[in-house]
Amino acid sequence: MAVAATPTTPLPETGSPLPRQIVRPAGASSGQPKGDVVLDIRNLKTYFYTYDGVVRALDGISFKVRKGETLGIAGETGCGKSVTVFSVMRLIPDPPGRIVSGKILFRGANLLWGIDREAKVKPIKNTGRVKVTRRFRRIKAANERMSAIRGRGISMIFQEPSQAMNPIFPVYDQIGEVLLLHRGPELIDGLLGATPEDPGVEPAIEALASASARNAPQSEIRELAKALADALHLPSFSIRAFHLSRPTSASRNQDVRKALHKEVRGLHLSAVEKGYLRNRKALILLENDLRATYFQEMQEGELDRRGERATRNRMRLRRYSHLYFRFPGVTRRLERPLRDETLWRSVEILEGVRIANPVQIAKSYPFELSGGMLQRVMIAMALAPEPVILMADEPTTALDVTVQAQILGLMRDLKERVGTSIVLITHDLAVLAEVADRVCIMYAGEIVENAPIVRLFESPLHPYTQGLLASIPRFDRPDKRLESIPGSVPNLITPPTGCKFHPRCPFAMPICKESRPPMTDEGDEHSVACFLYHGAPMVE
Amino acid sequence: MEGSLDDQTVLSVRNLRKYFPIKAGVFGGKVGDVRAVDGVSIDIRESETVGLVGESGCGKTTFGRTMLRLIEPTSGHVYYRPPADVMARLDALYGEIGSATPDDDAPERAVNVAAIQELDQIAKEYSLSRKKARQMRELRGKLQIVFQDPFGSLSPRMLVREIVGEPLEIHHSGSRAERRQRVADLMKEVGLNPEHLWRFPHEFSGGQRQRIGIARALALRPELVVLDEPTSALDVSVQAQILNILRKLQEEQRLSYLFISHHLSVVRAMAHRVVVMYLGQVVEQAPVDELFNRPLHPYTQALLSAIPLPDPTLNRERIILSGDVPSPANPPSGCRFHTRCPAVMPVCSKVEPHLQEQRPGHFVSCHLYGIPEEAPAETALSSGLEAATSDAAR
Repeated sequence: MAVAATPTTPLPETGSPLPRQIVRPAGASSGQPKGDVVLDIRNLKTYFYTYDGVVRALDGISFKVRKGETLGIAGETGCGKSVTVFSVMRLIPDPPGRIVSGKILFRGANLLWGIDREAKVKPIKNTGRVKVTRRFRRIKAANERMSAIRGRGISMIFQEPSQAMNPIFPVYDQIGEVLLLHRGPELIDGLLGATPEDPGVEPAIEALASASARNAPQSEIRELAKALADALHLPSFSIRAFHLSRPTSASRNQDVRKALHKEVRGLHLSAVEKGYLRNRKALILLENDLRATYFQEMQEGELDRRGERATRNRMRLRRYSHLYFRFPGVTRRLERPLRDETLWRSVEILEGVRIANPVQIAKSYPFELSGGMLQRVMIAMALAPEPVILMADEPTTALDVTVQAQILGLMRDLKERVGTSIVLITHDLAVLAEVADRVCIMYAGEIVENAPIVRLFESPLHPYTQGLLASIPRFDRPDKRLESIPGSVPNLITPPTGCKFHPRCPFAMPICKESRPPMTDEGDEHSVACFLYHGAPMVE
Repeated sequence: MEGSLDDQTVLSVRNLRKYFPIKAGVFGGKVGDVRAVDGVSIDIRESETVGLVGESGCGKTTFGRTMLRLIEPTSGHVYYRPPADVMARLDALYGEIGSATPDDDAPERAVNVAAIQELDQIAKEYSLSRKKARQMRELRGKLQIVFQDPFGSLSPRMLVREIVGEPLEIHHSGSRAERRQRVADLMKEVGLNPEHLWRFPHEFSGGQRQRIGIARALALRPELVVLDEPTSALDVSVQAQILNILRKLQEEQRLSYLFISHHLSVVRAMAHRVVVMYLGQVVEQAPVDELFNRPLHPYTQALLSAIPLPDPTLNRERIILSGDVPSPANPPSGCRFHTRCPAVMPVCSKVEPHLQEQRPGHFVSCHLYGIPEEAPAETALSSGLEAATSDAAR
């Protein structure tokens, strides 16, 4: 497992989906240096090789993300914000896109290890174009290695939630997939360890059913449901029992009792079912093992022989389990206890993101839900494995202000509870003012300014940042005239020479046309790439 | 900034409704209505910008389109340039009739036949929905619209000069040379170069396309332009360019705008008067400064507090609404906002509030500011009101 390989964060062992209490350092929002660097991007270049020429979408960007910090990335459309996170996740469509060079260090593991061996780029004479020879086996291997990072390490929220979810599976199936992948053994151990024949179970069901019949308060029902779960030795059963016996649901005494009995009966596992579950667990453990190996490879920068052995083992097990369970309908029936379990675990997770009727939402299909609701489901899904970093690519752009406020509040809460670092991409600086600790302003594939949020709004240095801030309509200051930046984002195939902003810059000087300004340190963690300022150059 | 009151009214909308039928079953029988716009009345005066705000799905866009008769309204009238005396008479007549919904039989209410006949006479003369196709086509030149999506609203097969010149051709305005001159002038007005005329829409960025859309809308020198989220697909820097152009054009040509947006900061920057919609109905209507400084309806208050402010040092208290907008096919009873309202009272789920003038020019539809007489007198009601008003006082 990816996280297991590094000792900095202990793995959560059991319990509810978001149990870790991470206390934020005192000066959390002041933008002071805090926590260790979890993501370090150095001189990252992503190019797209198109028929019109090479689009330099990212032209050497560097930034760091610290633990528990929210980093905002802002800029106009087409400046490379999304390409940045897609590069980190290695989701750039290839072809035409290619990460050309650079380093992405996630807790010491270089996600781009071996990138120079994946393809060869040869310029074609007298045209602006290049010939790219890709080695698809290496690319495939690199993609597989990324499974060590995606999910537990870095997870992602996409811009358009309705596009990012699978339309043919209900929500709980999709959350359940994440759950099985990242905490499958724990789930299966719980199921195997359940004791439905325990003598304490029957009275517990009776107590719960009668409490439900007399419309007892929710807290009491929750208590009783917990008692039942204790009797069953299956902690996750309490949520199931609670929702089945809620006074709001169809709550005739008999019905609740019947439903509970049915659920408990479902916990009696036959020998074949047990065998299936054990098999499944072994598979998941093997996969985890493989991921740990991948992570180690990326950390050490050399191939591990053990990885090959693990792959062979996994393939053997896959083949074996397929032979055993390929009878039509059998696998599905054997999966039932696990599917039930993932359904209720999903409900628990959805409750964690304050969704009002989680059972109904968990069972519905993505098209049945509104954009705001889906985005909440997406966030729940992204946070289910408790990632070290959460990449959010314009999570609220498609949503209304009222829903946006809900979502941003949720992300802030979860950050504080789980201690996740967030990389938030948006074109709305006002959103960043609400949630970010530090902001990178991007322009035409480069970071032009990097500053703590308060500094950026108080004293923006780069002319582009100043222009952006002046063009936001302020409803608290209606009399302010709206300034706009003349012109538009340049074509990235033939970008302007020198500083890419100089054609639109009100302070352009002769030197701006000739050379690219270096990133200079202007004190207080504030750095800027502009010839107007003369701080010490940043050391890369 | 304030539009003076004696300005002529360009459009006066009264009780406009648009219901979309829900069809189901083999024979496609009607099983219900989506009440997209449900009894909206507003006036738009000359060289005034009316901002229309609300969450997505509240019927803003449908209202804009129904008002221009791009969609036929289910009921209600849009009066084009009614004189002041007719306006006064209209208000009096509507007051007499009351605001009965079309499917509301209301047998106990005496039908005022004389008033209805007089209304019909006025409608015949001024209402858009009573105009014949030929008259309507003439009026379309005066009432224009800029669409939300600059990528979908321009034909990919036409050159920009054809797109901008098409309204002129349809309306046979001027000779060919004059038309060409007008198109070139229009391009200059919206800040595009003459060489752009010979390009196709796909060669432009979002901001430039929106300018083309604006140029097309202005081609026939309209009196009123409906701006349906004109900047929501654009970056802030480009948005500022577009807003500045729109302002400049309004000053030069005495245009009226209906500015539809979900972005309240933009509305604040552009509008003279703001109308807040929720689930097809107007919940609040006020001059812009009044609305933003003293929002009365709980929904407006929540909307305003949800706007992120570009100032990291501010720490505002925030009203976070729970849940989503209910379905307009099955709106909640009574006040439609009561399911999400933080100041909900028992009466809210039973009696529908009506727009009342709380301050000069400031209309609000909420029981917090007085309950209509037809409300059933209940003890629970008065106690609820007390609690709520004390809340409001705090």
